[in-house]
Amino acid sequence: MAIDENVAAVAPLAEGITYPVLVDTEHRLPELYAVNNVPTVVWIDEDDRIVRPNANEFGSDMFTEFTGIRCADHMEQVRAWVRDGIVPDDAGYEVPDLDDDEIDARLHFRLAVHARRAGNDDVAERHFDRAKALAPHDFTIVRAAMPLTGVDPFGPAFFELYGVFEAAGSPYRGIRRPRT
Amino acid sequence: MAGTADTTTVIAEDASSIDATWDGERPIVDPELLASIVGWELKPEGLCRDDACVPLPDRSAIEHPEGVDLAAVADALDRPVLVDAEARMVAVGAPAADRQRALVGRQAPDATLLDLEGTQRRLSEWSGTRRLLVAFSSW
Repeated sequence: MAIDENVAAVAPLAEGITYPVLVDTEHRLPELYAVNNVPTVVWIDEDDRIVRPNANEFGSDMFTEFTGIRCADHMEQVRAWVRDGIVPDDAGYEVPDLDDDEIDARLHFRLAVHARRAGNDDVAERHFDRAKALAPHDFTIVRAAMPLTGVDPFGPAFFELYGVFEAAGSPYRGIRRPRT
Repeated sequence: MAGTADTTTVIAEDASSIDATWDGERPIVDPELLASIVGWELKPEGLCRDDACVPLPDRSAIEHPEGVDLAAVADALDRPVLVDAEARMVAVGAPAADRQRALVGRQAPDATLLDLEGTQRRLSEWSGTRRLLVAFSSW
């Protein structure tokens, strides 16, 4: 599920992928699953039970130097779960709920996206700014707003956000695998 | 108060354009529209969906000579709401209870998302199989 307002930007990322790819243009996952950064992976069983909640897992080792997270560690655990029903010890982690500011930030963000789409740039800017002020560590707000406000999400603004996030104690909502 | 109806953007599960009469900061809508916006209908018993009804201790907070106050309806349903009267926009969030069912109750919430062909899909289409929900992005 791409948490993305831009369906056209997602299509090339999904090329060659054989499983279903959906686009969460309305930012429902950040609201319903309290997702605050990507990638976030949730294990769900055949009865729609969340077996292992939000976890910062990667599909490749492209960022391992930066994150210290190797994708093979996760994939081995996924195989053990699918084959043998083995659930890792960290699966009981309870993702903390969003606070009121983060909930409001999501509403401001969604309103901004629709204002922007309707060409009301002033309204959009006002609500993007409010969303970022309310949830300054939330990548689904601050970083997702970058391409929508003419800012490069892989440029200096990203590293600035990462610095703010780390200085706040890396408040990722979910399981973070220890660095290897 | 006889107001004029303005085209108003309402963002809930999906976004829609409706006519609302604005009484200052209050978006007043036709009660007939509630079912399509928030999934609940106004009935004598309260706000109802299927067999369930939320009683309304203070009906006057919701009812208005021109219709019903959409923001007050969201409040009554315990859903967060954001009103930008100047821009004629209203955003309604999910009830905290829905997220609690996921985070504490471990029941995966359902949601409607678009696939790459632009077709609406429900997450529950993949019920009955072990699966990974992978949130990624282009940003």
